[in-house]
Amino acid sequence: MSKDSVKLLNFWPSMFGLRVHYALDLKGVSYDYQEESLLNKSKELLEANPIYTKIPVLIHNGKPICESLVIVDYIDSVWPGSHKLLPEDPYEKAVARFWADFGDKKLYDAGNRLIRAMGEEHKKAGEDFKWALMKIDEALGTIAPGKPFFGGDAMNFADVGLAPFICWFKGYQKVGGFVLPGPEEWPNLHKWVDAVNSVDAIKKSTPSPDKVAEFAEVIRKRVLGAA
Amino acid sequence: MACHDQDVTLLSFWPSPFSMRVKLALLLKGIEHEDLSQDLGNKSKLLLESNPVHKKVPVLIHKGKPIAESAIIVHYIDEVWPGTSPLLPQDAFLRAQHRFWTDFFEKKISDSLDRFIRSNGAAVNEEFIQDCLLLEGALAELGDEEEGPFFGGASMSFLDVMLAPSAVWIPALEQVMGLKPASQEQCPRLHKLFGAVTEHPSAKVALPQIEKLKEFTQARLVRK
Repeated sequence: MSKDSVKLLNFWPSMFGLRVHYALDLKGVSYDYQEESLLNKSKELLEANPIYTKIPVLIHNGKPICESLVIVDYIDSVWPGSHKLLPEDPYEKAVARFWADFGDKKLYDAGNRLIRAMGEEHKKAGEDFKWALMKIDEALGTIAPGKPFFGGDAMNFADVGLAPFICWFKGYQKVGGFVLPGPEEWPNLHKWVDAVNSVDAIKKSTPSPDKVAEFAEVIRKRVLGAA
Repeated sequence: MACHDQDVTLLSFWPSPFSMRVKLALLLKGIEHEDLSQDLGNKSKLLLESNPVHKKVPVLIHKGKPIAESAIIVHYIDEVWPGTSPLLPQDAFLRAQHRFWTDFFEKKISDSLDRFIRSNGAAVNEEFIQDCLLLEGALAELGDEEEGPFFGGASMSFLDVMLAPSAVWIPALEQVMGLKPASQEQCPRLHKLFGAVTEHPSAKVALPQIEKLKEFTQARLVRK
């Protein structure tokens, strides 16, 4: 039986790349890792993702797949036996997809503005970011009451879609100049964060929040300097 | 054969391309449904309760459970009613390509069209034609010209459904606001695809007539 060749092209702070790490690590798939410098992109990256020239890219048996949630969906299809990420039930599947997508549409969007926006827009970004986390806290209570994850006892597609933002919380708070509400206000969210952080597969690839915060502050300084 | 499944309701807004996608998927699969047109300026209690997070159309309500986000809804429809007119390809890599190009369309082309409309036609985006050329390339790679004009060959597939609303929106914007789309010489396959969409019996019902869209667009221009 021939061995699959699986390679991830990524840049260490990327929460999108982290989604792919999480999916592969939860499933116990072996893969090669290539760190990319965004200022000096490898020929391999440019050829694998000519449309966006962005990470992450998964190269499976020579074929590239791009866009993190597309990649995670693909990984779940190709390696269905171990740690299934998408539920069997079509409605539960749609709910899981919705919350992973929420990560892109609301959480990433607000976080990005926290790093790059100025003045009133920057203030609004902080409010939007907190709103998004509040919605996640509510959703956890509705979808999986009393359970640690969106997927119940184990992480599913929604958890993988959202969990990579956890290591960015420190960084976002620093550049946003606010402190996130604690477990009294967001009990489900904080339980979820603790549960995610205790999963061995997650610990494997998650960068240190301090390093990520440092990185976030560097970009913020650059943005402010250019203003 | 029509599938009569009780309790299928679509919360729609006829000019919305996202709404059109879902309508098209339902019609392709012959799923009987109730179509509740929404007033987006005065959102109904049903809409706000069904999509409390985004408060947007389309929403599909099936057996009392709401599903939001057009791509997610069409995935759902394909999974619940797989027998008729299957939309997502069987092959995982090909499925990834359909999802990737749907996402590309939304990030790039849909976004360009949105900015064009919001700027009253002032925002000239050279990227728009470049992006159409990339989509043309995708169609050359993923389609089968011998089989048919669609990404799915002779029949419409997931990506065709996602792109279909452009078959009416792009001409409407061209004729009312002077949008310069890619020419037939530049994108022959895409032109063929959109032509086939407008001739498709399900699309003829799901998509509004270009004249109606033109009136809608004109009215919004005047209001500004």
